[in-house]
Amino acid sequence: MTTLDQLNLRELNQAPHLQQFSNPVRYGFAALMAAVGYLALYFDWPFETLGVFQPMMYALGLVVVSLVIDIPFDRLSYQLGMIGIFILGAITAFLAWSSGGTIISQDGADLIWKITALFVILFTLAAAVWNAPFKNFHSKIAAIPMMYIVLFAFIGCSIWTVVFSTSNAKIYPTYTYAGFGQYLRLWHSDKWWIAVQNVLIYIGFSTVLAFVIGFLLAVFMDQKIRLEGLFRTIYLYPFALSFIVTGHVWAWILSPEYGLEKSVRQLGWTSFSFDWLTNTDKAIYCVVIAGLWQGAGLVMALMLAGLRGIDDEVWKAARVDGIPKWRTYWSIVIPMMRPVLITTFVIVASGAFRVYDIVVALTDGGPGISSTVPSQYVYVNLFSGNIAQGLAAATIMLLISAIILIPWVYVEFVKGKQIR
Amino acid sequence: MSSQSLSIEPSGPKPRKWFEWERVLIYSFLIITALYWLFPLYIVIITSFKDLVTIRDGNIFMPQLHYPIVEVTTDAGTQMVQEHFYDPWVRAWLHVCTGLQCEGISPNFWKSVIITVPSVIISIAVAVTTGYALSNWPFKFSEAFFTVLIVGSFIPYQVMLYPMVLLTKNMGIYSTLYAVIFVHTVFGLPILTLLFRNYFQSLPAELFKAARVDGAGFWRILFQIFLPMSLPIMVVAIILQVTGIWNDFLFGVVFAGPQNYPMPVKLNNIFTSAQGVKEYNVEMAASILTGAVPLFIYFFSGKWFVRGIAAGAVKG
Repeated sequence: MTTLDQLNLRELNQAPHLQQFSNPVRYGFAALMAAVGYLALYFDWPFETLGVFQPMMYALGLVVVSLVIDIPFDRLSYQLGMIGIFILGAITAFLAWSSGGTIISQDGADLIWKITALFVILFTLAAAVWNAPFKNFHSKIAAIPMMYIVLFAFIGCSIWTVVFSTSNAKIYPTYTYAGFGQYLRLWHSDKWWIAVQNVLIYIGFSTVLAFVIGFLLAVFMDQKIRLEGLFRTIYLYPFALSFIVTGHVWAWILSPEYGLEKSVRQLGWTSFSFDWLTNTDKAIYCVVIAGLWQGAGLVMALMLAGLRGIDDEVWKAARVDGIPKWRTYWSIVIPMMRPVLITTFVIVASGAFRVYDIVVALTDGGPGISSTVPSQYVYVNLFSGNIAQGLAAATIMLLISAIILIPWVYVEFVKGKQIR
Repeated sequence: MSSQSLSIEPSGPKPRKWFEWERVLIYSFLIITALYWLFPLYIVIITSFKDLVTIRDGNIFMPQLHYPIVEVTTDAGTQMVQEHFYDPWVRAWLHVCTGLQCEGISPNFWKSVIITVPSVIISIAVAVTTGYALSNWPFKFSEAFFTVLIVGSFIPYQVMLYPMVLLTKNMGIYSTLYAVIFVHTVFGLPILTLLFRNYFQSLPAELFKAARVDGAGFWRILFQIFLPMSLPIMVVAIILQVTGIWNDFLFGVVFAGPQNYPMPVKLNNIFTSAQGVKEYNVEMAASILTGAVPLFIYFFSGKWFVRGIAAGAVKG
């Protein structure tokens, strides 16, 4: 007798008798693919303005998807099909390139693109009808939206941004190779350096302060206090608000004209001065204050969850050994909370790095350009006729966030798997 | 038996004294920080009930207690009108202008509703099936896809913003409600998939195996076993998405088009497009109205909300 424990799920899910699909299912799938293909043609989907990389990307996506759907590439017909798709893609790319880098949906290139798309559809159809043993068929069907989003939204759009950052596109996203000219422009742009400086200040201050305040709050909340729920509610409620609301509210409080400065002076302290919002050197610190108000509660909640996850035995052992409380926190609890600390750091730092809404609402980059941030620089350039410049800045942002993320992904996913 | 009755030594934790310095320190720190956290809320609420004269001459700490009768000059002539404490709120909801439009923030409230409801439903529906497929029916490269998805969720939106604009333009939905819903579904997928994948993984494996042995397939297990069991995580996901989408500014301003601006975008326009005297009281009332829905959800869901952000943030 096999018990449930001995069942191997992978084998069970892929057992031969479960992989045979009746003809209606297979033809149904084929019809679905045809419908998707028709829609793709109808909308010129996905990237009409992708320029030279459009057919390449479509082919790439198809390769990955069909790998996942287990189309047997050892068969000659499928190999020929894939090679054909790549050749058609390359021809389209060449035509687009030689026509002076104009966008793909111009007459000649457009036809080739449509032929490519048709070919892709026929290929997928054939694969669907003739290749009966899909492994884990329903699971892949269910995951198709995710695959498309990963391929086209996350990978595809990032690649597009990187590629077009080497163009000189202004108002229209047309591709003409311009090398690293945009990066050079970026390097010489004062506004960009101010933005970088500001975001560094913002990341530094808001991460450190949010960690210190969040951790202190979490430690104090963990001392079996009364009304814990009430305190938590108070610290966390700003997190439910929009950055736009937070920004405007703090702009009102910090405005020297009507807010804190005027009111404190009215109360009698006439020399009181708090004009950071209108001070070019200090405006970014106003963003820090408001961001901290909104975000420190999150750090507190995450830390508190981490503290609660620590075994009581640890505390008992430390007490038996006569270690003072602060020492236990510093030498035992904090090292034990390392995974939580790392995850929280990644969340807070990457959130701080993409700070946008709150700056728009609080200072709108002002006074002048003194509190502008990179994401604002990207946005302004993208939608005011400097597309390639905005994309170059976005590429730098992508690079920096990759530098922060790759170690984390390594720790979280690659190393973590070996332990398990 | 008798050993229990024989113990005369005190047992259990040491009883607390009613006054300890440590406790005083803890509570004073907590209370002071709590007051700092409540301060803006207090200021915003009292400001939204003031009139402009009080705002100009008065103190931001003090609420307005008396509402005078003021002279109002209109085309019809001069009238004496009694002010009410709710005037700024009415104005914010129904009359405040941005540019030439003077309809207040109420149309945008409904736009926000129309954006939020389908976005939440679609993104959760996609994420449930994806998370379920990833957790219980792993296929070739499924982990690779998942890793890219999670990494992608940490990339700044600005990187993918412009290609997404082109994508929605080519689908013919740019500057419509569909575009916003589409974009929210795309960018909400990573966090929701993570949430559901981890939840389904935490369910006992025997459940799934038993269903498989009994002959249930992919969809049947999902709909008849996993979905009914996923109510707690569903609540968390709904809270997460409703507040996230309601508070979104960037996608609203880029993808929705001026006729469909959601509330935060409209709010920002109210602040920036004011001409002449800035009506701080009306603006604060509009701010509260914009924040009301997520705050309402937050105050009434309490623990679920905390669990949502903790589950969304920490890989469980």
